[in-house]
Amino acid sequence: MAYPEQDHAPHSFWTRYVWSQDHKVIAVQYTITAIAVGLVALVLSNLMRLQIGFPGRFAFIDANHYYQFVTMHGMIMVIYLLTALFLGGFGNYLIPLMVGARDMVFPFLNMLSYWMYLLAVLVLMGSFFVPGGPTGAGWTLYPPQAILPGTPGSGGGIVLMLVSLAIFIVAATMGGLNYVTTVLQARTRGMTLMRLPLTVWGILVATIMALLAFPALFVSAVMMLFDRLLGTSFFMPAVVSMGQALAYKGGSPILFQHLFWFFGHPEVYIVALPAFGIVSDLISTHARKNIFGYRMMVWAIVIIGVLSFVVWAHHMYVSGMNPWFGFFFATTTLIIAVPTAIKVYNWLLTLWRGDIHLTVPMLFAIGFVSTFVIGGLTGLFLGNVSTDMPLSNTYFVVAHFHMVMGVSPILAIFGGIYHWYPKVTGRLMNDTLGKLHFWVTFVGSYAIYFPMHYLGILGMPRRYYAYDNYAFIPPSAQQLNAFITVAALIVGTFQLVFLYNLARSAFNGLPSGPNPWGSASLEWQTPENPPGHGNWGSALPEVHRWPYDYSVPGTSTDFLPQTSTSPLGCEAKPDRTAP
Amino acid sequence: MALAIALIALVISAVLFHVFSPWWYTPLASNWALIDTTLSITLLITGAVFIAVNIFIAWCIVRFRQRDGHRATVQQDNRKLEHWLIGLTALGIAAMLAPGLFVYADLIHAPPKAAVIEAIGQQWQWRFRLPGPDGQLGSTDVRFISPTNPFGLNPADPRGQDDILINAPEVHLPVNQPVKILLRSQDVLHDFFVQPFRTRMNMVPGMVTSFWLTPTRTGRYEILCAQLCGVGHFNMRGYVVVDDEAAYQVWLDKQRVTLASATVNTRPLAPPISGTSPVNALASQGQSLAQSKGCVACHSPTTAAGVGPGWQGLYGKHERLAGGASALVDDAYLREAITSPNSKRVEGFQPVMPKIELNDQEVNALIAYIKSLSAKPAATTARQ
Amino acid sequence: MNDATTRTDRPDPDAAARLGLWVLLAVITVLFLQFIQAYAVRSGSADWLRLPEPALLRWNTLALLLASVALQSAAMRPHGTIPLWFGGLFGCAFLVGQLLAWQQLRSLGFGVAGNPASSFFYLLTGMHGAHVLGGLLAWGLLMVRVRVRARHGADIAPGARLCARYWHFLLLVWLLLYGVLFLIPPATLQVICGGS
Repeated sequence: MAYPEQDHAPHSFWTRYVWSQDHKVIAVQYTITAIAVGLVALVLSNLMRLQIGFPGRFAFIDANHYYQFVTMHGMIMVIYLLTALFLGGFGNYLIPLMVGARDMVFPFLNMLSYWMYLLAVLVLMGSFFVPGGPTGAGWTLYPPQAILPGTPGSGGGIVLMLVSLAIFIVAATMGGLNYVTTVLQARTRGMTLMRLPLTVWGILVATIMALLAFPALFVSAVMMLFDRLLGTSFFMPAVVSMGQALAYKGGSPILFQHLFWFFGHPEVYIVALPAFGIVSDLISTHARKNIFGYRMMVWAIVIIGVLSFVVWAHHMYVSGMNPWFGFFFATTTLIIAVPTAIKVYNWLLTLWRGDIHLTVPMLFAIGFVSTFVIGGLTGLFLGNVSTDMPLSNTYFVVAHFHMVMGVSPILAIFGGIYHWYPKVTGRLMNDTLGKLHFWVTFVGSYAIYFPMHYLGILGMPRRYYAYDNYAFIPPSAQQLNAFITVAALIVGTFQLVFLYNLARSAFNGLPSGPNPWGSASLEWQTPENPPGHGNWGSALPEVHRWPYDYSVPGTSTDFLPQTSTSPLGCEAKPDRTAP
Repeated sequence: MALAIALIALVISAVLFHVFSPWWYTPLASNWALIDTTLSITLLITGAVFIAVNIFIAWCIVRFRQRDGHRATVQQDNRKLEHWLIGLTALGIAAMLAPGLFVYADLIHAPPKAAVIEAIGQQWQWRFRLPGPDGQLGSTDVRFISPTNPFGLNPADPRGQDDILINAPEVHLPVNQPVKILLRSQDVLHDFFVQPFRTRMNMVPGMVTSFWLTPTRTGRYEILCAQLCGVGHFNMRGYVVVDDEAAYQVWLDKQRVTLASATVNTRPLAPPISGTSPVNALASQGQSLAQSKGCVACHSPTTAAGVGPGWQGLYGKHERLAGGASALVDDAYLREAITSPNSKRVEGFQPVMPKIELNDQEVNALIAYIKSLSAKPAATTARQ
Repeated sequence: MNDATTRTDRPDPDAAARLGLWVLLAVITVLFLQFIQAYAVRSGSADWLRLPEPALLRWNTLALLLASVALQSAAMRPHGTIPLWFGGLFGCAFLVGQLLAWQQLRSLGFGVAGNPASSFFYLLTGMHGAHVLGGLLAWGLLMVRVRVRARHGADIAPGARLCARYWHFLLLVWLLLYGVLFLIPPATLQVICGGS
């Protein structure tokens, strides 16, 4: 059957690249927007590092600006870069190609999702230009201070932040409906759930979590907007602020923290699970070996997804909540380490007796494992309620979460981009520049964050504009901070190498051919490369195996694509395969 | 190969860094040695895993890197191995969790004989309240807070009449006596953090939180606010002094006397400005006030701008006001700026200065102090 | 939205739309449960005052019920459009009724700010109203499609079924909110929500 013209098939530049309903174009739009806004957040982080490393040397960074940089850096990186890039970027591009669909099931909604996301970004960026500037309440936006005058941006800044978050959540929900429905409804013939690449599993579970967790953030944002604009007292107790008694009465700041972290903790895994999936596929492909313990990996993803909804209050051990909660949340938090550890073991066992090709994507994947492991391990200090006491709100926390949900997901994103770039453009990214980018980023990240843990153990509190005259902080801590700042500036600057490579390779990269990595999964088996509109030409592919048939004994080829009908293969036994 | 070398180098430098790092906990000053023990156990286990994982990856890269004729050995999974790994992981987790929970059970149960004191947070200063002879703290409420009643004492509560009020950011504790510290805030979240004590808690407006400890070492420790509380967060300084019994009694008696004479506590926290002339005495009183009223959280005694303008060289300067006008900083200007804050705003600063109740004499003292910072050549008073 | 009806290698669009709607309903359910959880926690505080029930709310409930019934009968009768019209009409009546109820409360002195129970009333009914508005939008799109497809004699039942399902859901949410706001005592609610 000939592939018919679709109703949303592109006809002009505008419908092809701007108001496009093609998941691949929307994915690129999401990715470019997220990288652009991430660049802003990167610059902000370097500016705040300048103040910490060389206090007072840069007069334009006053205390107000410093707190605004901290806040905007955090919020942009977590929500507008990581969440958007993993789900909107990778999710959009890979889901239909990996499950064998022509597009998302609701293409119009998909387009709307991107434009809502862009609107959210623009509203957020708008807060830089309102009087008083963006909010400086810290990315957790804790009331009462987020909406009181002692905090920068408590006028327009915080309102725009909350509005932007609400819009983002609507956008994420539109996208999420699509991703879930597409994975569950639009898989091609033979593509059982237990034949999905782990990337799809990671994105699917992360999307379901996002759909269930974001409402909590929406609720807290709307209620805080009411408190700020209409004078309600949902989160606001009676306070005397700057010598003035305000009209608020009886609200609960801790209620906000519960709502925020009911979203906030799953959010960590919303970012981590797609990274787990991507890294699993990269390691398997580039080690020319099936992922070790595939079924265990799937179950680990699902169990982590479920458990992550019952650990949120480990962010609140010292918040003043009912202290009995501490026992429950410390226990659940440490239990979640078990499925997470399984994932790490299985990555290691995939490398073991593999045929490891140290390509650029593989370098980033291994970099991910190393940084994720240290970030996960330091999490055990903070999850265990009594060891959290001296470390909470110190630089130890900063180092921990930057390793586990800053550096490691970003390395997974880089690895993913180097890996799938040939799919998107038909060209390879420059190898030398890629390696340069990897080495500076990987080594630099360790140089930044490893020593930072020790500043935290020393007791340096985070979110401090300056540390003048604190007797218990030795002068050497300032020297270490200067070192960290220099490392951060170098790493920040070298991201330009990546951007240059990304832009230049689109036109000047070496042609990649249809499957440069010899990957078995379905997205590399399209009739055209890059895939055309509708992805699969005249007929949808038929799937006969899992996506990990590498180095199968008895075959002459290095791998068997999912569409291969060869009787050989090492997929899990059918009796264990779920429908 | 380079990656394998890098990972091994990483492990070695991490271990070396750990061994030679001068940055480590401050010496313990409370009874919570078990927190340090739990931390050490956790560090030992996680450190071993960190080293093992990185070395294993490096070994895999060396041993199984791509070479001619080399082919991966396919293995789908290995149930037995995975069960062993899960079991070992669970064991390691239990070894960290169990002591942690035991310590926590102690952390949340203050001994009944613990003395009770109260710490109150406000943007960006500390105050303290000790029970009087009746051994009880009177009730409080935010709605009672006024310039003359900064603690928000309930005037109708007789238990509060004899409370010892310390309107300054320094409190003393007797050594080896368990103490339960009640925490209140009148505006935003704060956190009472003294690193050598290890334990700590947030201060939440609208409720009373608490934690307890037994100080075990005498000395003067810094109190830090460790919960972002606005733009002056980093300068919310306080001190807790752990005294032996005799010194503590002396201090306590002094607080009672101060209370009886019903004057503002102006005991200097920093060495006073030298000299004994009346002008210097006034400036010296101003310096104490600047500390105790929390002015220094925003105004540094140097030229450096903090949340508000720095004070050195301020007097006699022409300030550009928001809106383009300019004003000479003289006595009248400073008086207005102190007594009705935010009526004029200097360009580049936010209108966030609180109104603090001061009598004329105190305002004069502050002005004298600010003046004294401009009278001298810059070099002698600048820090560093 | 998509032309998959013409192609055999596409997933069944109705099945996809049904699943999509179920996922959406799950998300909205979580959203309202979070609001109710917050309500339960907040209702435990000392400054809580019970709200008088505006009499109009019972009539509004009836309007929403009738909208649900009308849309259900439209879904079961593939060619009649009259019940569809009634569905939309009752939906609009519900919204107007809610606005009137707001005014009634306001004239009684229960503004948005002030006691938290009335803040929550405006918040929860407003949120629910926004979702009703969204439902009316979907209903409007369906009516446009009825116009277009009527000429081709196409079946509008799948669309009407989805619309009806959404309205039943809105009715359920409303009954839940009604119960939380006026019927269930706060103490009971706190027990249910494990309040703290």
